[in-house]
Amino acid sequence: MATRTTSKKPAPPAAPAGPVKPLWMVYLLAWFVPGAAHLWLGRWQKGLTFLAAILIMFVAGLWLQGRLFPFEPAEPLVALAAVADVGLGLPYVLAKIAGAGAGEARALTHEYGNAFLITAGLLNALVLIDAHDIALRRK
Amino acid sequence: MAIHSHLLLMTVYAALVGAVAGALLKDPPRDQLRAAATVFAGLMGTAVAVGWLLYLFPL
Repeated sequence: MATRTTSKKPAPPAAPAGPVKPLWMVYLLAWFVPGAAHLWLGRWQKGLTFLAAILIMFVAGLWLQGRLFPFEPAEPLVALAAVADVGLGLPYVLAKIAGAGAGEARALTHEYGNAFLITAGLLNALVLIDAHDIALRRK
Repeated sequence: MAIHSHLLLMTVYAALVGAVAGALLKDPPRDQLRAAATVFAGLMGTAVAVGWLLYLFPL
């Protein structure tokens, strides 16, 4: 009769607890400049990819006569689009200060511009969540 | 300069979304490239398929 041996594997060394960097700084950087939190956390390749792709989407959106939507609670879809736009952080603030993003509804590419701007903001929100996971050593 | 090619704009959009999605989903650059290509192909394929569906069933 075979005997069953119960050999215990040595426990892996415990990972150091707590975030790699202060979480509030990670959130602020990730929101303000797309990819900046990843660069700060040492993920250079990802950070540069996010920075380039999201900024290109933002600039393309403005160039295509997209609109940076205002907060209009009376129009829920416009308000939601505004929330997505704000996800861009510093580029959004700079564009607002410069008076860009008024949008030209008669332009052929207006809706494409809106799609580029809204998607860029939403993608930056996903990038922020990814930075959060990296800071908490989940990735 | 005005762009009138919807296909070109759709391709640029899918490529940029694919690049970000690939970097979000995977860690090794090779896997990122594969994920980005999958997302790009999915977006383009779906858009073309829905486009033909609307062509067959106009509003």
